[in-house]
Amino acid sequence: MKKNSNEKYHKGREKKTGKEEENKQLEKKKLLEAKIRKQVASEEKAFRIVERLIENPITEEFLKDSCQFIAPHHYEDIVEERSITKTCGYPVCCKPLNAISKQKYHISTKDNKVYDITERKSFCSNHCYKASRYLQTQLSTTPLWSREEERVCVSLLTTNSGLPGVEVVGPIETVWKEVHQLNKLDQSESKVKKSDDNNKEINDITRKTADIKLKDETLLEQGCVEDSDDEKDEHVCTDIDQTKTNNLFEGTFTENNASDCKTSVAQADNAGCPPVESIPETKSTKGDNPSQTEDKMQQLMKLLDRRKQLLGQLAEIETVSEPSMVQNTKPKTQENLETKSSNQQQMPIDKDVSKVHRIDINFPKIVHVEHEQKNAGISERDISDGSSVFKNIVESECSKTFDVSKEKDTKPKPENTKMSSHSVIQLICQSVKTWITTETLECLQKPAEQDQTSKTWSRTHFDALYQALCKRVDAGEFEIEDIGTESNMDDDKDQRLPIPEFEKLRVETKDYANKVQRYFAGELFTEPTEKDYQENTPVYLPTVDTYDQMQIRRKIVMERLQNVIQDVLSPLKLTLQDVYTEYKDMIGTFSLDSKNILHKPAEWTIINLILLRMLSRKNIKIKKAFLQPSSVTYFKILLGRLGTNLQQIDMYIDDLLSITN
Amino acid sequence: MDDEQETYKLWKIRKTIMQLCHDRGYLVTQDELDQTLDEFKGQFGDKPSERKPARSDLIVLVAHNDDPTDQMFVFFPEEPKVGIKTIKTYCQRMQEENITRAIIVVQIGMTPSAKQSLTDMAPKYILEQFIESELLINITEHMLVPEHVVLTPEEKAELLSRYRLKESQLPRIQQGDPVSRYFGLKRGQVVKIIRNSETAGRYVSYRLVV
Repeated sequence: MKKNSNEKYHKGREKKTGKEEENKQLEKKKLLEAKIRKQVASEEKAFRIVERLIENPITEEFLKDSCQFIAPHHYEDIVEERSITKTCGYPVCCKPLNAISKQKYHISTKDNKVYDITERKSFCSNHCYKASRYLQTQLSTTPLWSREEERVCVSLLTTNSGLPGVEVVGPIETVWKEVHQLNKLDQSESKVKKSDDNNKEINDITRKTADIKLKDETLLEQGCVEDSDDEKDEHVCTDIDQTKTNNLFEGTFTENNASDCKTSVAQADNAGCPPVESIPETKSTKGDNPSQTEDKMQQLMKLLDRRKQLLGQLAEIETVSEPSMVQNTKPKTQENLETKSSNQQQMPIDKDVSKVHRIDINFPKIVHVEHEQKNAGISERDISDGSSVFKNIVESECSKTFDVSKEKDTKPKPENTKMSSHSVIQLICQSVKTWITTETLECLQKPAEQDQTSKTWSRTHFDALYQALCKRVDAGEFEIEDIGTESNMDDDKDQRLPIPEFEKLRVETKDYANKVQRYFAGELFTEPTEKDYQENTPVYLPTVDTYDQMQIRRKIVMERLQNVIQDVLSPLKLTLQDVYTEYKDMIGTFSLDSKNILHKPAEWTIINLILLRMLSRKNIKIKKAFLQPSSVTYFKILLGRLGTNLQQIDMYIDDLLSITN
Repeated sequence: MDDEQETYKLWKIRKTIMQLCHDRGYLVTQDELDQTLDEFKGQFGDKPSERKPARSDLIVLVAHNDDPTDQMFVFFPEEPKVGIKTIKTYCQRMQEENITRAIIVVQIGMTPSAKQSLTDMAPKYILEQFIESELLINITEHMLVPEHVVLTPEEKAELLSRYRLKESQLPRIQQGDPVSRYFGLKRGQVVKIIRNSETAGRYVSYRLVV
């Protein structure tokens, strides 16, 4: 019984457990079902919300509330549905979409960017697009059914801005910013530099003689830097000078003006600042605003005044016996004065102003004299023939101006113009004197033909001797060859065929023998061929150093002289070809250094004259040309203005040549 | 896309739709089945870009062979992507005309919510969606697609009793299978698939739609 009961109990227990399990399973199922139903319900709710949000109008509150129950993909759906029904994709906005572009990308020329506008097409404006994206990023990605506790806080974008689409091209913006910053930095630095330089300028002016030298150099450097300005100046100048001069003179004159402008720019405002800055400033100086230019002019004049005082003192202190110093100050002051003259030409409006300034500087007489001479030049135009003469008159005026300036520099009292003009020529002569070497004297003293032959005589003589020697050697060789050929003649007739080759061989051996000979003679570096001997021309080997200073200086001097040589040659009725070789040879003998080749174009004309006069002692042709009546009158006029004549120049030249002796 | 191509495409789609209706047991005239391109152009026009024909002109309403009250709509929505709104307008029309079945031929696709709305209406209104590109050819005419025959409920009962089978013992075919979509099969229906066999000549199998 017990057993049975036990069994029964067991059975009952088993049944009981089975039922419990079933119950549990059912509960589980129910739970699961409930869970699934809940999930479905939440999905359905989201769907209802989507449906609702498609319809207009929607308040912001409703949108915020409904964001609780939707996932980002639902929101995407909303946007899409709305755009299909031609309303703005942003639920709060109820504007209709019209004129949807067919493009895929939008290229903004304003920002230099490309935007993908496929998404943007669903919205009425950039703002709606941005706001919509702003909202979408805030939506929670957690499953809808698990969101009971968490509360999604959503804010709506209110600021009125936005991009036209998804940016396609990468972050160039940052690069741009950096570039901008760098530019700003540069500008500020240059400004600081500028002010510094201004201070330096003023200091320089008050400093004594030694400093002036330094400054000239700096100014020259600045002139090199500001090439861009020069171009503009040139343009302006050519316009002005067109009526007065023809091409050749124009070239020199524009150079003048360019340098003048350089100095004016450098002095007046910003010395040594980068070209980007200086360009607008130069414009302003040249601009139509007369008051501005006047201000600048006044400033410039003040500076000039000070300088002149200084130079006046300098001239009193230092006598002419220190030529190098005077030379250094000279170009500078010339420049200063010519700034005035060039300003006069550049800005006809300011002509009167500059004149007034001239008077302010207390040199009324000089101005007067100059004007007189101008008139005289015009009257003399009739006497002299050809446009070139006219050119020269203008130039002589120019030279006159610097001449006058020289007076001011060296002697504060401007009465004795003659003395001063003498000093100009003296100064030029002094610089020329420094050029002249013993070689120059040799070159000038020997007649042209004799000179060349004597130079090459040793070579020709040597050549003759040496050719004789070669012949002897060749003869010896021939004999040996003959023996060889004779012995082989019967055996092989074809051996005769390569006879021209023997010729060649002979030439080659000769050349080789030449080389050896020369090697022993110590002429390692010249390799004269037979042609060279025949032509008798000296071989100029290129200097080892391509930056050879002497070569460069020679080039500069030649260039300068060639610029103005026509002015002297045309009244002499000579061509450049007549004098060129001798001229070049002579210049080749000069010892040029960095200081004594700095001259103004007008000075170069005088130098040209002196050099030609020097050449005329050697070359009869040039001498004859100087004796022509037309040239005599021309030089009379030209030099008369300087208060001198050809005889005096000759005296100077005699002096030059004798001193070096 | 130029008009010629578009017209050709529409003609092909409409032809396939007609065959589909015919295969489903709806009444379609032989003329409509055999309609050539020129006839199509004559009937509807040949400038789809100028709405000649507009897609709405292509709407088909067919009645079932056995039960003339059982009718089916075929809609051609204008918009490339169909949203809920369009579906709703179609639903309204079906309600008005008391028609429970419809096919929607979309150009590009449907929005997810529109698809959801289709399933929501499922028990009462049966809406099926096809993409135009699916209907350019009739897949049942393809050589690799065996002949499918939809069994009527009576035939199904007979089959199960004949072979003493339960439903679950039959091989299955998905409802989303292209052929079952073509025939618009519902869950629980059975298709008889007849294949050619080298050994037996004809091999017949039955599949239950799940």
